[in-house]
This record gives sequence, structure tokens and C-alpha cells, in this order.
Amino acid sequence: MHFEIECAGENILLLSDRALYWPKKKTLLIADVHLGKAEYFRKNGIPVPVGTTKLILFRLDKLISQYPTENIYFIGDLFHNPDFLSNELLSCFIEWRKRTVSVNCFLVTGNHDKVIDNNVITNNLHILSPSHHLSPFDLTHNFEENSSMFQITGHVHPIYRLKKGSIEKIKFPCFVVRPKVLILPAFGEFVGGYKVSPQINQSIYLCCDQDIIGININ
Amino acid sequence: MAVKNLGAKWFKLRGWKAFPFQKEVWKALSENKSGLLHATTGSGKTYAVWLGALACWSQVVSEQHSHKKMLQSKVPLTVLWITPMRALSADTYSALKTPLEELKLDWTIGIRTGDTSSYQKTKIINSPPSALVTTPESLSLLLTRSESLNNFAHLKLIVVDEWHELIGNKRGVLLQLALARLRKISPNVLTWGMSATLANLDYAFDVLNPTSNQRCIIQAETRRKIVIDTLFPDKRTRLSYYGHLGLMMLPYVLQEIERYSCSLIFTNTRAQCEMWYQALLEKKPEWAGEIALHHSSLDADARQWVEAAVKSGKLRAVICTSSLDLGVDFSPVEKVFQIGSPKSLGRLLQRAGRSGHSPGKVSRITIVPTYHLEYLEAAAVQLAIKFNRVEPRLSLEKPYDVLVQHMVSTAMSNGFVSEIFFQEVKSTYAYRNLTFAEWNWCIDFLHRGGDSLTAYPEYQRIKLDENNYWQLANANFGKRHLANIGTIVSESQVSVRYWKRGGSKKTLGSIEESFAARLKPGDHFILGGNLLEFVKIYQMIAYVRKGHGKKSYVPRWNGGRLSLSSEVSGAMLNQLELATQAIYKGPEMRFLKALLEIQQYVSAIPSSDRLLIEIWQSREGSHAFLYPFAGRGVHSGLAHLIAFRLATASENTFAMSVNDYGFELLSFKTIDWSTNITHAMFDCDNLVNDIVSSLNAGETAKRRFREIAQISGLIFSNYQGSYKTARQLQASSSLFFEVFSQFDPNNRLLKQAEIEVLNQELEISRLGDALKKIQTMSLNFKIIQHPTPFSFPLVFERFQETLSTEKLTDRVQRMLESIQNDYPDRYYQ
Repeated sequence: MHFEIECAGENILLLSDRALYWPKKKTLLIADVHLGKAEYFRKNGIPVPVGTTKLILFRLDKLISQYPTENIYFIGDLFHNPDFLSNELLSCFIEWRKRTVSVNCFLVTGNHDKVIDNNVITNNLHILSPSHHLSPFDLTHNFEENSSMFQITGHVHPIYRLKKGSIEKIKFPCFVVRPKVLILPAFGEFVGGYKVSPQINQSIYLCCDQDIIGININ
Repeated sequence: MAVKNLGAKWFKLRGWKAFPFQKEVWKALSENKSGLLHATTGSGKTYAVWLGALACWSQVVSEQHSHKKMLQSKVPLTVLWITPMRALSADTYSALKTPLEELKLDWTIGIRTGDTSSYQKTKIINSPPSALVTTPESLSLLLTRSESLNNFAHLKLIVVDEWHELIGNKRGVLLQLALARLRKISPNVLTWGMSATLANLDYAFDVLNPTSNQRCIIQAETRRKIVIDTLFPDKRTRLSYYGHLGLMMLPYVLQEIERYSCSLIFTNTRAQCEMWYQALLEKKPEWAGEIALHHSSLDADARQWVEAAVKSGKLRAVICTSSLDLGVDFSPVEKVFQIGSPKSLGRLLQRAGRSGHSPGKVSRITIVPTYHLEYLEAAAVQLAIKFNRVEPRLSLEKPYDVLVQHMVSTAMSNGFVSEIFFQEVKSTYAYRNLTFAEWNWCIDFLHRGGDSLTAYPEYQRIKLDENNYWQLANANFGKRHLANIGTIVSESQVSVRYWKRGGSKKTLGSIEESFAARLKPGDHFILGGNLLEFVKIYQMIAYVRKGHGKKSYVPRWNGGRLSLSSEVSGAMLNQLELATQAIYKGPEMRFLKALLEIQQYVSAIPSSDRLLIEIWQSREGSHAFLYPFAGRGVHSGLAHLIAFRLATASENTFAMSVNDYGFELLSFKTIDWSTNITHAMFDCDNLVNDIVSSLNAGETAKRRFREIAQISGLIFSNYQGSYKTARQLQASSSLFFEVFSQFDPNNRLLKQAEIEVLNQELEISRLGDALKKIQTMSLNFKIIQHPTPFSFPLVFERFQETLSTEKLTDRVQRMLESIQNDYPDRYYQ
């Protein structure tokens, strides 16, 4: 399911599976996938179960089939630790690219994947600078204070805690929309999050299972 | 040469007379028996065991060398003295040392606890003393070093002091495993436990000595007189209907303190301890320097200063928490106060025992209730004590997280062979029923991350070497493991230090990371009685300056919550039963008479044959209050069970609130309680299944998982090495819970969380009994217009949990609608 909104004059869809779709450009915008995070923990003696990578790639496949996609822009932290990629992970990634060879993939680098010198990745993705202009948007991993452009960012892993009084509280990953910024939720599995607090001139869209629910606070 | 009749001889030197029980212990030790000594502090238990040990294995130093001149004893480590608290170890050390010096024996003593310096720790391993005083955690640490394993080869006696404190929790389980290790290294070692306030002595002996074929249990006859009473405010003070702080009782406590030269004031939480200290100081500034506070989040130096000051009679009052629970011999203490509910008889007796140590003196404890229902509890407690109904304590059954931690510790030292180590672990009481499948799951967990069906590639905490020994796979894991050994799980602690140029090493104490995270520069808080101004936090250290001004926070520490024991709650119901017949016995009940009459008038007094269920409609929704008086654990279970069964019949969300007297269910959708809560709701059939399903619908198992995640090494609260890299490997326990639930639902740690919630938090066996009891009671529904004296505390207790069977989207819509009604100027789509 999706929710259609308008940003900087463009119609975009907020998807309940934590991604953004831009119909005009047939483009998916995705942030904070953190592929390889579970592996990194395992490598350091902490047993995180297998399955996150497969699930992430499966979800990507599903999005591509649901929404006609020609381009995917990963806005930072696609890989949790590019120095540390196992063969298993790389082969999954190569296979995924073989399946999605018709889709152009771009990576706007983030803090976790600042430098990538792995051939497998560079052969399968276009690596862009930390800030990339995709008119009329600026795609940048982390929000930049003094910018006149409308930014689409990630990094924050926003989570909204819906509270009814002090009794009922439920947490949801969410999209945060402000006049000049759109913050994407983290797409990955086994990623933590940071709470977003209510503000004026900010809309929050909760990713609630298959649904997406908007909360406007003015 | 050995000293004949060492015990009697030394006592004569001191002008003491040996009690019969002490002679019994000396005899038993000389006959090579292990045993259990049931005796309270100050009764002479330490010398009963110690002098017996010295009689068996020590010698007098030859004339040429005085004891002091000996730098190192040639006598190998012979006695291991285990005490559960650091506060005790210093005291024990001095007590044990005295006869050595006076009889000129050839033994030396050392201490090793968390407070010991690293220089001392190394010294203990390289040249071990003849007797070592230590804590269970320090023992586990020692067992990770192969060098120290050799030191235990000549061990003749293990003494476990305050065994009743350890038997029922994970510390005790870790100790059982450590004892099995020691018995492997020194097969004929004797074990003596010392306990007090314990009901099931045979059982306690068996858990400590699972392979022994005869029981030796000795009871000390000396029973000190204990006087228990309750503190009442004067008639003008308004009785509080809720609140655990109890500061309105301060003036009366002060009056009492003035009558005694030294008092201990026990509070149930650290925050309360800090607040009482501040309040006391404000009311009596002339007492500054004569009063102090003591709790576990204060720096070791501060604690030790207080302990020494009490012993030398310098202080007139000390406010403390359970940090001073156990047997430190404070002879100047004449009086003990218990602020709020003591929760169990054992605890009350133990704390009372902190006073009146000098011969012929009486132990005095005054219960200071903080709100009305605690007066009822005070009455019940005194009644239950008259009948000597102390609670039994049971060992935990094969917790996986402790076993996994112990396996890593053993892999670190000499390594282990699976089949052989399995037998060793099985020889303990806690793991006597461990199956080989469960054992292998634990090995797989450490080796592969899970069982063979769920592979965890690149992961290995232990690995098999060419001799079939399991060893640690990577030295770095070892460092992290050592920093996190133990089972006392707490939130990540942040040290508090003064901000000084060039850095300051002096710590004031610690606060929880969650509290520190909310502080902004300039915020003031109180720690150790000091008003501090927060400067900044850097790498798990909070820097502060001396504070000024009045407004300050008190840190919040999350500690465990003890449930009211069934012995006490049973006695409470008896008192209420009498009240329904207008019989009020004792000062506490007479004090509550007016209040109970109000309760009777607007609702009813809970009794043992009619279950009172109060129904109240408020702005928040539809409330039901039930009063089984079965303790907070059971009430948590009942709340989950009833909420789940109701929510299964019809989609709904409930919020639950519990205390020791009853529980509250809040339904957000309108519900007709009297037709829905029937005896069928309290059916025992399907109990475990329903509770487990309710756990999945609620949040309790996730919370429980936190402890397990920490003990089994998934997350850690102590950072070793680079703070930054450690930070990168930190994930919250709820994240682990989610990822396990999704990708490895058969993970035994998840299962353990479930089991622990069932057994410990919800107390499932007591729950079964409570349900059976309710089946025999009639259900007494009363509609109330306002909260009653009994429901007030529940209304003000924060809701601990919600349980929901509503579809998530429906639930969100409902919440949004309701929030919309409260805040019409916001709009939602």
C-alpha cells in the first residue's frame, strides 16, 4: 500500500514497506539498508540469525515487481561495513543484480559506506558523491543545514511512538516530511531506530504493516 | 604442629564460652563431614566453621619466625570463603584474621572482590593465601584463568556464607556450577553452608551438596529477641492513599531516631534512599556529619567509609538499601527502620537482625508504612512471624543463559571435553535434569550460533581443537566475556566523576545510562547526598561539578521488584476477614478501622471467600479491579490470563496494572464485566498455553529477554577496549528479540525467556493455586463512582503492560480517534 503526497512539485508515493516511489521517473528511493550488519555481529562473536539478507533482497524484488522500476537510488548505508563483506553476501548481491539487470542502481554514499573499493560492488552499482542532485531533489545521506533545495535523506532511522495518554504506546518506523526535507525510514532488517518528536510543520507517515497512516500536526 | 582443641583454646584466651552448636560444628569438621549451619549473624557462626577448619589443617608457626615476618605462607590455598556481598568481605577478613595472629598460626588470608586492586588480584594468583575470601562473581573470574585452577588443587574446605541469599537466584546457579568445577579439581573438598531465615534446610543442604550421601545440619540455638512494631502518625496527619516515598512520616522517624544512639533506615529503592537523606539533612542540618547514606551505586570508597564509621559508632543514622542487608556486624546499631513494605518475612527478620548485636541486647525494627494498605501488611507480617512462617527458597531449574556463560568461562581456562563436562554440570542440583540435547544446543549456540538447522556462518565463540577440547575461538571475545561475567544484570552504568582539568580519576558512583542520556548540561541531580551539576558525558563517563541551587533530579535506578510472599498475603486476608465481622485486633487494624469502614460502605472489604471485583467507568475507559491478594507476580499472571481470554473472545486492547494486593484491567472498548468475567475465566485448563499466548500478545517476554541477552553475552553493559568498536556491536535486546522471533523462533534463549516469565515473574505454580482458590470463591461485583481506598493505589500505579488482539491498523485508528478527541486542534488523516 502507499500514500501519495506532493513534494517540491512532484507526486511521490510513500510505500508501506519503507521505501519511496517516484512514478514520473520510475524510480525507487531507499535508505539505510545496512546489508551485512548481522554478519558483522556474527564475525565478532554475537549470534544473530541468518535470513536478513535474503529477506531484504526479496522485499526489493517485490517492490520492483509492484512498481514499474527503471532506477533505484540507495541513499546511504547500503552496506553496513564494506570492508567486511563475506563471499556469501557478495554472491547474493551479484545474483540479485543478475535478476535486476534492467534496473539502474545508484548509491549515494553514507557514513557506513564512505569508501568502497570492492570490485563486485563498483561493477554493479554507480557510486555517486555523498550528495547527488536529482532535480528537483537533493539526495543526501545526512541532512544538510543550509540548503535551499528539497532534500531526501536517511541516516536517522526515524521511529514514531504513538501514545494515547500514558498508557498505550506503539512504535512504528515512519516517513518524516517537513517543508524542505523528507526523511526516509530505514529499509534494512535488524536496524535500530531513533524517536522522532512532534514538531510544527511536520507530517509523519507511519509504516503500519501493509498500511501507511498519515499524522499531520500543524 | 597442630593445636589440640584449637577452638576451645582460643575462646578461653578471649574469655568466651563455646556454644554447643559451635562444638558440634568443630566435631563434624574433624570427622570430615560437609554440612549446613543454620544460624543468624552475631551468633558465632563464623568462628564455628573457621576454628573447626583451623583445627583440622593449620599448624603453629615455629618459634623463630613470628607470624608477621612471614612474607608468604607455605600453606597452599586450603579454605575458600564465599560471601555474597562485597560489604561483608572486609568484615569477614578481619574476623578470620584475628585467631591466626593470636594463636600464631601459619596461615595467611586474602580477599578478592570487585573492589580489589589489580595488583592484589595478580598477587593472589601468583602466591595464593591459605584462605581466600571472595564473592561468587570473583570466583567465576578466577576459574577463567588456568593458572589459578592449579591453586585450587589443595582446597580442603569451601564455605558459603548467607547461602539462603544465593539459593533462589542465578547467582546461586553460577555458584553451583563453580562448586562443581572446584570438586573436579579437588575431589574430596568439604562444603559448609551457613544460612539464616530459611524454611527448608534439608533441601538447602542438598542443593549445596548434591553428591553427598549423608546430611549434616546443625541449628544454632541462640535466638535473639526481636521486637517488631509499627510507626503511626498523629491523628492530624492525613493518611496517604498512595505513594512509596513515605516522607510524610519523616517527623515521626526523627523522633524515634533521637531515642537511639545509632539507627539504620532501610528504603526499598536507591532513589528513595537519596531523597530520604536529603529530607533528613534539611530537617536536621545540625546532624550533618552524623548521618550518611549507603547504596550499591555509590563508589566503593564512599561505601567503605560509611561501613567503618558505623562500626566505630560515629554515625547516628544511616539510610540504606539492601546494600546493607547481610550480616555486617554493626554492633553500635540499636534500631532498624523499614520504610515501606518489607515484602517477605525473611527480609524483615534479616534486617531486624542488623541491630542489637551486643550480648543481651534486643533486635528492634519499626515498620514505617508509606500508605494505608501497608499498615495492613505490617499487621499481617507481625502475625505471620509469631507463627514462624518464613518463606522456603527454591533453586532455579537449568537456566541456559548461565550455563552458556559458564561454558565460555571454562573454555577460556583449560578448555573442556564435551561429554566429560556434561557429566560435571549434571552433577549440580540446578542442572540435574539437563538432557544431552539441551547440552548440545548450548554448545551449538556458542559454536555455530544456533542448532544445525539454522546456520550462523562466520560465527564462532568456541572452537574444537585437535585434542577434542573446546577452547575460546578468539582472545578478544575473552576480554569482553570477563568484563561481563556474572548474573547481576543492570542497565549500562555510567560512572560519575568530577570535571577537573587533566581529568579526575575519583568516581562518586554510577547512574544508569538511560538517566544520563536525558541530562542536559546545567541539569542538577543528587548522588551520594551531593548536589551535582551535569557538565557532559563522554565515553560512558558523566562529568559533573558541585551544584548550586535547589532544583534537582534524583536518578532513577531500575532494580528488581520483590513480590509479596504468600505467607504475608495470606495473613492479610485473615485480618480483612476479621474486619468484615467488625473485629479489629492490634494497633494497625484499629488504625485502619475508619478507612475499612469506608471501603465496606462504598464497595466491600476483600475477603477469602468472596473475590471483590470493582467496576469503574472513567474518561480513559472501562476499569475492573480485582483483589486476590496473591502477590504482584501472580497478579501479573492473572491479569495477562484474564485479559487474553477476554481479548480472544472479542478483539480488544487492555492495559494492566498490578500491585501486591490486586490488579486492574482497563478496557478501551466498552465491555460488560459482570457477564464476561465468570468462573470459566479462572479455569485451570489450558493455563500454560493461554499464558504463553498472552505473553506473545503482550510485552513481558521481551522485557525478560533483556536479562537473558546480557547473561548469555548477546549484549553487554561493560565496554572493554575501544569504546567506539564496542558501540558498533551494541544492539538493543528488543532488536535481538525481534530478529530471533522472526528468523530463529526455536532459539532456546527465546524459550528461556518464556519459561522465566512463567516461573519467576508470573509465578506459575502460585498462579495455579490462586486459580483453584478463586474457583471456590463467589464473584462479588461492585460498581463504584470513584476510586476506593483499595483501588486508589492501582489507579496511581503506572500501567505496566498492554495486551492486544486488535488488528494493528484498527488499533492505530482507534488511538488516533481518541487522541483527536483530546487534542482537537491537531488533525489526522
